[in-house]
Amino acid sequence: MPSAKETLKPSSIEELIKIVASEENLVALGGQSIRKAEHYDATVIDMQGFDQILEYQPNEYTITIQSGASLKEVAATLEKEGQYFPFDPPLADEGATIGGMVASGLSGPGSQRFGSLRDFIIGVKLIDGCGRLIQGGGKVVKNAAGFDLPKLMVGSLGSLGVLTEASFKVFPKPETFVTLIFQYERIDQAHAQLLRLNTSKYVLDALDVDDSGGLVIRIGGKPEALDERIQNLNSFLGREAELIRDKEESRYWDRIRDFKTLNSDGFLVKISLSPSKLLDLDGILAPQNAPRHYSYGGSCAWIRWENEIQELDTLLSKQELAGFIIKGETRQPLVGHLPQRAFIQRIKQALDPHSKFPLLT
Amino acid sequence: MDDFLSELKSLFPDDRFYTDGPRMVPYESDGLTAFRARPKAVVIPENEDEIVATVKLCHEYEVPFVARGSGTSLSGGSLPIEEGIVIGLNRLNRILEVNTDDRVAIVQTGVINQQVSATAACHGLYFAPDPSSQTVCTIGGNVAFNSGGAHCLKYGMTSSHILGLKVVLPDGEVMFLGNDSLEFVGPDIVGLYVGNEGLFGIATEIHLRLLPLPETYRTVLASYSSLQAAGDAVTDVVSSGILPAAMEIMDRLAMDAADAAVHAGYPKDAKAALIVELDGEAAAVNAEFDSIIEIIEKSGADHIHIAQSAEERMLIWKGRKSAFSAVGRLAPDFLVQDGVVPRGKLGEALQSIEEIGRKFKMRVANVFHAGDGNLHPLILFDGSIPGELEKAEELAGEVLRLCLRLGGSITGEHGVGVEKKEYMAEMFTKDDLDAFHRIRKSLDSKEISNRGKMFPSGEAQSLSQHGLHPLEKAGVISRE
Repeated sequence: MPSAKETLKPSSIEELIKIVASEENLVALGGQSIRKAEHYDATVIDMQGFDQILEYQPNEYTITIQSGASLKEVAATLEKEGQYFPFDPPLADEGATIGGMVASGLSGPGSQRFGSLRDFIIGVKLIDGCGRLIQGGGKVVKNAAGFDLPKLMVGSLGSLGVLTEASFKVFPKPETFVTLIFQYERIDQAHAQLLRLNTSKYVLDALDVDDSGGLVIRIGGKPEALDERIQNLNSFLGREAELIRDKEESRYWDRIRDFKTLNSDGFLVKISLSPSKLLDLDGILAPQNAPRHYSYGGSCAWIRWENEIQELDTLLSKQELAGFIIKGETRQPLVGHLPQRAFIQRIKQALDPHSKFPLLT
Repeated sequence: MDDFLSELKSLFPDDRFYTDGPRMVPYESDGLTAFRARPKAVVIPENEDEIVATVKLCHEYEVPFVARGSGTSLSGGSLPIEEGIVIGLNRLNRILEVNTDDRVAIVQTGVINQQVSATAACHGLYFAPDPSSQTVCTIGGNVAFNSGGAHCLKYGMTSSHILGLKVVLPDGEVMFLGNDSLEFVGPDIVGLYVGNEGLFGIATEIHLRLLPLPETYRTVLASYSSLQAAGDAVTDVVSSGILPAAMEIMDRLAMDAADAAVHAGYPKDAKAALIVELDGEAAAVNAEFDSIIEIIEKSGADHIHIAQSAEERMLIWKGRKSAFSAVGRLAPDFLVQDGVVPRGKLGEALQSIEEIGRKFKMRVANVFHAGDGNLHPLILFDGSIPGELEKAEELAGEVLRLCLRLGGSITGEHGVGVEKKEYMAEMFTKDDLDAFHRIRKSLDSKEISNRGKMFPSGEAQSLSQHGLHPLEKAGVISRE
């Protein structure tokens, strides 16, 4: 088992630059809600000293935050102004930081409405492998100048540089949410309705399918329109939904978003998926008794995997699917079909020529 | 004919390889007509193999290439250079697949933006990015320049709608980036690729995210006695917690032009017009629209016109989308700028632009995406008067610096191209630009792919004056 060599906690950008310039084998971590320091055979940079919200102007729909800031605190700040991250990032309660959120590239069920994290990040500052502070994007919601480093950092798992701050677009939060559960006997029945809903006129804040055949829909907006919208969905699906409202409703999604419904100790894995491939994947996972949840309208699966990770790697490769190991000790966080390795390698070479930061695959 | 050209000629039949004659003319310039250059050759590939062979040859001989579609770039993004060639991609214009289950369309690079939505419409789907040139611009160009449109606040720019790309890198290597999923693992390299301004080679096949057509649109046009009042109304809408699909403002000069061009019926006495549009599920949108109307009534609008039909909505938009080329009726020439400011600084920016216009003694019309702070000042001038173009460019530069000073960007959606590359050094540090350069070099060691764009202090461009793009003059295309 690898163990972290040393943990450094810089308190200024200058100090951070010095560390990157002088050390060899580095990994930057935030709240360690998905990976712990001891999982790395490297010098750990603890980023939690960089915890400030630098700029927040609700009327601009933008916020700029240091990477070590707690996601939970940022979410609470947005909430006070009636705004939110529509991409619904997970693990706030487990101490996730903004930097970790970006590096892991994790988004939640709410992505169904307006898109995922990549669609909301508008600017970044990072220390590259040459120890230089560089920025991409900016602080305005629309910007086409320069290469899109903000998006490149999403899912980069610390391999390209140490993120110091990021700017995001945020949106007004719907006044009220209500959740509709349509329980089917089998998952293929729920899946068939998911496909219909995905191309329908109904605007959904979440569209999930669980491994019991539950089709779960979240809608949000002005309270006076919700009853009519519920009726419309009931008649579209030809059955009566079980409704969840208020506090119970938000708790319901907290559990899904934080993977609490996947009861098992195995590897927690995100698989990027297309709705049309959902049933094939489920057909492979069901016999293994892997707990699983399909979110984002069938664009992603979260599963628990109790067997060897190599087996999952092989299964996903055969399906031409790729996964990211959110939790569980592994040297290779990415598994499955990854045809773009060569491209990533070129970008990595450009930003981290001395390979100071972790490799991806 | 040198060795390179002879080899290139051998790859194409005569009717798809030109080195001289009138067929070259359309390729010498793009939507930024002040710049013009004659390339060594133009080739018109019809398939990926021909693209790969051409790019490999360019790489071998270190000859720069510009890949282009319809050439609607307003930043000179597809301007050729004299020692390079142009690869015209309009013949790769097939929509290969519309996968409704996954809401994905797979298209070739030369497909026209609007054709995607037209083809997907029978499945109840559409492609959201809607640059004003959408009737002629190609998806390949949209990808290269991360095109915008009027609905970016809610729906994002082109990059939010690209899932996968088959690309020919500048050394001829073919790769597939991304997948058909809205999710991905590892760094978002599709996100990096989109908006590369042609510097990362050529995307030949593009996997597009389609969205379900909104059930309903509700559109209102309100007029105000000042730009400031219209701007304040935008702030009120934004503070209300309702997310509009679009918010646009036009000033008097722009309205006059649009009215003359398409008889959009804008109020005659107003100093500013505000368009607010909501879209989505009828039950939800109707409830929100009532609130929007209440806000606009309270905002001191002189006149409120609610579109009562799809036709009335289209007319409101037609006026807005034709405003750029319509401004061409007010002066022989104009330059359009594309800077972005924080929304809260719109009022300050507009006032400063007015002052700058006065200082230069030039008229400036304003049309802008108020929802996302994306300004489009149109600087009117007469290119036949010596020095006028240079003066207009100088004025444009002051506007860009103003945007940077207010915390914004030099470009919201037109890209840097040739036109704004010298301003990159004012928006980014030397280290930032060096990092961009290293990324470029990692994909294009010889820097042949769209050489001379985006990075400052490249080869000098020769200014010339040619007025509106011929297609604009003919009224075929319009500008965002």
